[in-house]
Amino acid sequence: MNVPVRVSGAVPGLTRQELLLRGVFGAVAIGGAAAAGPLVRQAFAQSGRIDTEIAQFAYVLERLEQNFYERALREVPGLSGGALRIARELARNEAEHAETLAQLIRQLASTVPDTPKFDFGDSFASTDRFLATAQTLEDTGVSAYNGAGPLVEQKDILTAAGQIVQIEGRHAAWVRFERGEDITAGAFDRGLTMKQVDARVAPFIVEEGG
Amino acid sequence: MTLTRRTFVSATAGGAALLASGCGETEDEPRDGPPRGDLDVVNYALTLEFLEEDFYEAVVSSGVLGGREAELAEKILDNESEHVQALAAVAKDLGKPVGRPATDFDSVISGGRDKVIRVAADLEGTGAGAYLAEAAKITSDDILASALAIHTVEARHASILNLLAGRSPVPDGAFATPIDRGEVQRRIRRFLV
Repeated sequence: MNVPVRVSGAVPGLTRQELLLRGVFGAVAIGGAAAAGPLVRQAFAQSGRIDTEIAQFAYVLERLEQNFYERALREVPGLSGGALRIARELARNEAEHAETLAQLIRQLASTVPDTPKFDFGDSFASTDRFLATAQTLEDTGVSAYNGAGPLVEQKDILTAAGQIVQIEGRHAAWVRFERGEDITAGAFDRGLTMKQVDARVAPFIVEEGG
Repeated sequence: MTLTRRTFVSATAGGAALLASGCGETEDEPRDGPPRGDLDVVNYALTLEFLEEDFYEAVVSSGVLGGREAELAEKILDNESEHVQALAAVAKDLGKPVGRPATDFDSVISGGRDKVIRVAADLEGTGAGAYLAEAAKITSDDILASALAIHTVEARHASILNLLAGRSPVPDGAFATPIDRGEVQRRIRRFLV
């Protein structure tokens, strides 16, 4: 497994935004500019780099989810009923999210990240395992967007992210309900920092994109 | 704005233009209407949460739902009560919280299980859409984080209530629709006394 370099706490002078954003996707999403060293928030804001990095991060997360459901449709033995309906609908939704984010990234005059190689372990061995991993991915997706939301600079992009995360929330509850779990983990879907998102999705990423 | 894959492009074009100009000063200004403070948004959200809390209290105390649906209603009621408490505390910090509106759900409860589930799904979908429409108006990062944390819980409720109502958990497809205040008012008016 490719373990990304974590800069959190290691580089003095980094802004809160950088600390939050640089994670497992940092090496995927961040181009050469990020290697130039600490930048102040204002510079990020004026250049739109925060929004670009969030969009790139979200794009990889959506590709991860899309790949997961597409493979589940091919590989989970005897997938049927509610679980099959979930896999079909979510594969479609996540693909649309990824394509839309790719458009946004190009609009922001940046580069769409290469899609990493994913490894979902034994998640496709049975319907139960498929749904368990699906819950992890959807709950993590919700908290990743919710954590990134307050960092977004452009209001239109915030609303667009909201339109996506609401769907992730609906997915998460659908999967949980299918499993017989509580549909929420409490009354608030608290945001995760990128470092926390790292810890949850790193096991699924075997090779970072180009 | 309402996002589809096509409109996403034009909707973000303003942002891209802003970016190109290098001028970020205007982006905190409301896009339309009079300026609204965070207190106004929080009190609006609080009103919706009061309404939902009243609804589930009526549902739970009526016993109209059974089994897993009854348990679900109790858990959702707990969520809504926590939302009320959190938003009331924020509103108090910022100024004055709104009062609880007078509500009447008798005709819903007497309509039986199907009607209750349908109305619950509608209320949750409206609530989620309302939070989505308000998010970009919020200026405080902390309050925005709280609103987002509530938004997706409303979305979770809407998803499963839609499923129980025989509808798709994602009726808008891949992109949820923001619901403006006028439309929210039209949808909830009948429950306000």
